[in-house]
Amino acid sequence: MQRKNKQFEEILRRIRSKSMDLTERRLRFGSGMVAILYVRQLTDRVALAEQVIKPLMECDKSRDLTAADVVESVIFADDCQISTDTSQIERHVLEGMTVLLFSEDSQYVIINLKQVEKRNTTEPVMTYTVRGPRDSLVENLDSNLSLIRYRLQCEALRIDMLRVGRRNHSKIAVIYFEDIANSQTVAEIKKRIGAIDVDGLSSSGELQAYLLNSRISLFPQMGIVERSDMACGALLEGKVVVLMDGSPWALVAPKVFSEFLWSCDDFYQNRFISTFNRILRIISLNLAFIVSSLYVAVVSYHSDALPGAYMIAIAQARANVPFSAILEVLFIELIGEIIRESLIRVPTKIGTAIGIVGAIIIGQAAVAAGVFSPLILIVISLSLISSFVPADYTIMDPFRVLKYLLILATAMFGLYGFTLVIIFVITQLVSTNTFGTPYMAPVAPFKLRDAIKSIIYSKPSTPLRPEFLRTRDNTRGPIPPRQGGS
Amino acid sequence: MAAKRAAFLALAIITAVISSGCWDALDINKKSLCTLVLTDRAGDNFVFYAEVPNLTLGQQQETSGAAHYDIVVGEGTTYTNARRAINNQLDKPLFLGTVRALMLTDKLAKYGVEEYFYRMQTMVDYRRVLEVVTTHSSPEEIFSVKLENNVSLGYEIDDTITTLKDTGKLVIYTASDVLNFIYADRSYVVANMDAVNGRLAFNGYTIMKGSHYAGFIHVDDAGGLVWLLGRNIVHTRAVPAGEYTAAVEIKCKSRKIRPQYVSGQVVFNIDMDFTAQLMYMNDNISVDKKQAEVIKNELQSMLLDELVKTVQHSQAIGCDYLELWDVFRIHYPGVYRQLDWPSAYQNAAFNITVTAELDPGGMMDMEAQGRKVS
Repeated sequence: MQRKNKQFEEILRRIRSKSMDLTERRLRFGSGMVAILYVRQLTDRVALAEQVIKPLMECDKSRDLTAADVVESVIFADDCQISTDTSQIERHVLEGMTVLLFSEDSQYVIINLKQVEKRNTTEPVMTYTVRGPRDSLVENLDSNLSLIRYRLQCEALRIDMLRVGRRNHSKIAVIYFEDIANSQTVAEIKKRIGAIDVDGLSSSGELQAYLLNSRISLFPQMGIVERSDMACGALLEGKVVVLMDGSPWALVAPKVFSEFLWSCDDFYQNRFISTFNRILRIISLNLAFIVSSLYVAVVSYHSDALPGAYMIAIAQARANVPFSAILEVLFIELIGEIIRESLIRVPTKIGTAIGIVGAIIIGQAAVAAGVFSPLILIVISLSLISSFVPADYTIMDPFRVLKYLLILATAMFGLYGFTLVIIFVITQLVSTNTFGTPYMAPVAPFKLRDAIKSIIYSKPSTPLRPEFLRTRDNTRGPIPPRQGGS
Repeated sequence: MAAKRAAFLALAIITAVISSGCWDALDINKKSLCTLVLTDRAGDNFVFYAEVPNLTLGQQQETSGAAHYDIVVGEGTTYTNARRAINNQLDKPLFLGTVRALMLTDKLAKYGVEEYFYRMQTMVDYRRVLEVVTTHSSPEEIFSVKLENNVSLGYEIDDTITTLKDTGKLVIYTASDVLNFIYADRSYVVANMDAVNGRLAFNGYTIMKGSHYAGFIHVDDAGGLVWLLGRNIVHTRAVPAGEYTAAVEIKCKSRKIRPQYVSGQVVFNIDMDFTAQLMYMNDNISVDKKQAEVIKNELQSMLLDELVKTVQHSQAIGCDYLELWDVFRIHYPGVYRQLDWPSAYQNAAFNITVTAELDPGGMMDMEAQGRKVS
């Protein structure tokens, strides 16, 4: 018997030969066959049986079926399409689609009955909020898109789907408001994603590395977002959100330095409390970075900068310490980092035990033994605790490393070395840009209105989006008329 | 090529760091922190007294852990020898960046203090903004005084001076100011603290001319001095008002000194404007307008008297410690250069006017006739 689709058997042979762990189910109709191809682990088999196999079994078997017949009048599945490109069949199946291949028709049907194991939407782990919504992004792209669509029901919201990876073809969604986001930023992000040529990407962290302006830049140029409300907030600000299938973190660009210090609660709280918290975070970031170096500077070089009573108290506290200030600081900083790193990687219960052991051994025993002075523990604890205050922890990573450079420079040259490194860091900060936006905006280049609003912010009092974002529409809402103007 | 450049750059940085790093820096606990320097003249010798905290002894004390202070004494025919004698007793190098007060005995002030201040200028770690005080008491009396809140005499002096200065009761100069006065051979005053009844107390000003002692003004006679030299000075005076006495708090509202050079004579027109607050009367009475006027007039006269006495005293001993030379120099720079200022100052004429506003506050009773309040 001569098949109308001469490639039917050949395609099936080709697919079988690839050992792709496919399931193949054949149904006979008239003079021909229908082959149902799917991956069991990626398919909702109940839906397959109910919406595809059952209608096929119940339809008139005496006639030959075509792809168009099946889509138009047989199956119940909602998301299906017809294709003729048989070279893509393997890809569709591996993506979790169910493919109906017809012996009597060269066209085939692709049905979306995909079902993958996925996590439920849970509370965010890294960006805890007091008053904000509690749903965080998950690994499933569709779930993430649904969370964003649920919050932003606007026709101007664009979701451009891209694929990356020679082998795993990861799905990446570039999301933005067409009438707000800067088109150059959108184009640049899509261009950089399109230029990625790699076997595969498994998380947004890897993707981020490909999107950076400079691969050797110290500071993060893209934000990471765990919460869907923050992703939506970023979109409303005119930013671009990049979601990757398989990653629970969204990437946000552009993101300037000051925004790393903002917490989601800032938007939900009283403006005065938010302002206070923002100032607190700025102070904390500086403390985390400089306090241990200042200790070295004061103890080793500039003792006279301190009020005399403190000076004598410090000298007294260090009277029996065998190490120099620099060694003392380096030891304790390293121990602190080791405890921090170990606590991040272990379960909470073990982490608590490590914390207690660390606190007792380092805190009490080391001071009692005269190895370290009590003051250095206060200084380093302050530095460590302060480093957890900024809302986006990624901004602290470069400062954690640069802190050692600052300590060493201060140990060698006193406040002169300290100043040199601070100048180096500021130079780095002001020469960085995030997708064309100066990293230190609105401080450098200075825009008074934006600079004030980056500290004192409340949505009702801030009808304009920041100038540095160069959005197509810079108004968030109606601008209130000036009081008392003629 | 790139590797060569990187190696060159690394070598340059390492060389710079190694050659210019402060490898000899000492931690704070590796220095003998000095909180007070008392300098005296004993016979033909110079004597240094350095107050140094004993860090380990302070730590061993189970009570408060406050530092215990040792007094290290060094004597020598020169300052260098005296300092060497101090160094020979210390297990760590002496650090003068922590000195809170420099006390000079009147014996040394009479001998001359310029060498000490020149020496101080060469010591980079010596604190320049420390308070300089003089004393008539002997070092033994000074170091035997009972300290109120501090265990360090240096801090005791510094705190006392700072409190008096902050409350508008004192005129004080730092070591840096004194050094400038010595270089310019000017007259100036230095606060004097003596051991009185086993306690350390501010009791007046030593007048210095250049580097030498020129006189002393007791604190009770120093009213005019502080009005003319001080800033934000606040004083209380007991003003006689008929049969009663009024306690008045006085502040200097404005001080205008206008110099003139008339027919070869220096003339100073000093206009002082005071505000005064009536605090209380020595009896339970209300003050009426007439009585307030009496108090005001008495006050003006009292203040004028203080100012005149001070000016006359400074002219009598030929020491312009009121720093009027500076006022004149600004107005007449050319004339000032040609003048022999000490003699011009001694012959200078003064026109002093004093006005005072009295605020009776809650004491005022418009209808009162000086009657007692039941």
